[in-house]
Amino acid sequence: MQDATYLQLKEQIKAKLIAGTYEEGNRIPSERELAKTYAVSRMTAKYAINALVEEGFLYRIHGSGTYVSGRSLTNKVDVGEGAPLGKGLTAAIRYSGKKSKDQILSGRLVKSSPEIQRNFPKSRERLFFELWRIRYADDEPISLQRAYLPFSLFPDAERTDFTVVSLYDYMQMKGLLPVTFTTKLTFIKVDGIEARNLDVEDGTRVFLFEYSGFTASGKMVEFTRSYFRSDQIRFNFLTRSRD
Amino acid sequence: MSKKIPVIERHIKEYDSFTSLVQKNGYSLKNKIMLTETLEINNYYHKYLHFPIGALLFHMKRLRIVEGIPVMLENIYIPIELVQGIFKEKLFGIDFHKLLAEQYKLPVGETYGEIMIAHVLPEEAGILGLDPEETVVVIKGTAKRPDGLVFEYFEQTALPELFVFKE
Repeated sequence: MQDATYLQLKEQIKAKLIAGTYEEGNRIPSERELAKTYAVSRMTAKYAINALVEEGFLYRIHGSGTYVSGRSLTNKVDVGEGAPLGKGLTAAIRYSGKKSKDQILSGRLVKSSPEIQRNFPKSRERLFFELWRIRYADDEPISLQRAYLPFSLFPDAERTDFTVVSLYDYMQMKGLLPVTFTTKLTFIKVDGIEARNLDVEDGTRVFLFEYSGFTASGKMVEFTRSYFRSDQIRFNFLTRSRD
Repeated sequence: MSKKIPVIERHIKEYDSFTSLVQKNGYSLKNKIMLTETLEINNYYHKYLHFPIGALLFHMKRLRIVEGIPVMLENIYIPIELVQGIFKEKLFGIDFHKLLAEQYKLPVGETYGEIMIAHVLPEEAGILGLDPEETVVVIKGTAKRPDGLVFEYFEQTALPELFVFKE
């Protein structure tokens, strides 16, 4: 099918862009050359390139060709579709050409509360490890994250230095790395401690991502609430029709 | 605004028309067509639509009213050569994307774009009943046919409470 072919080609070219096979600033092969290399029609190659231009991976110079962009067309960090998938925020920040830094605000055990219970609906845990951290891009706070892990699954989390090991590296060491997620995105106003830590004024509207992480066996191991500054990230989406 | 704003759940990776989403969430929907016109494709629209600069676009601005509350302003831009005769259609009270799919062979295969938080424009504030200092959720991007042809550029300005995206 035409649609599947162009999407496959788009992903193949995108993989080469991410891998650096086609380097920033260089011209990529023409539609004719791509069509020949990948044994597709020239129209399929054209659609694949158009899609990558829209997503900011490529740009055209009239009469000259199509070139590899620096990806970061704005000064924002790209998250969502088109960001380095599955690599986390650190990779997204670096991919946008910025330096990534974390600041741990607190890591402590907290008793379960109605709010935590709502987000771990099947759990009878009484204690959770709560980790607050700020994610920076070039010294600018872009995200405030509050993660909850069940104490019974991560009993030594409180003793772990999360400035040395990443949360997901730690969870992987425990054999409890989340591999599937449910996500909810809303747009809320922050004030108080959230606003202060994000370095925004009270009442500023931000992206709120709430996600639950599950291991391959379906065990829920994480609930995280991530506030993202809207002036610092660009959230890209891609929806597909089910028909 | 005193009325409770309806909340519409939508999947972050699956396409559904707004009309369908409103129905699935159990709400009533009315559309108010505020403007239809032709425009020339300039550099901005060309970047998204890949049709020649100077070619004509169909532009429709409409207000989405859910449960009696104006919740979203929508601007749709489609190269006129893809929708010849669109001005003769009844655009009020229909699912516009169903019309595009059935009459103009423009079914949506995928949409791609950006979700942002932005300050409301004065015209939008008046229509959506927002304070001029308020922020809104802006969703902008393109729609493609399953064969990859980009046929629409859209911009939606929604009340921030309207959408909950889920995956």
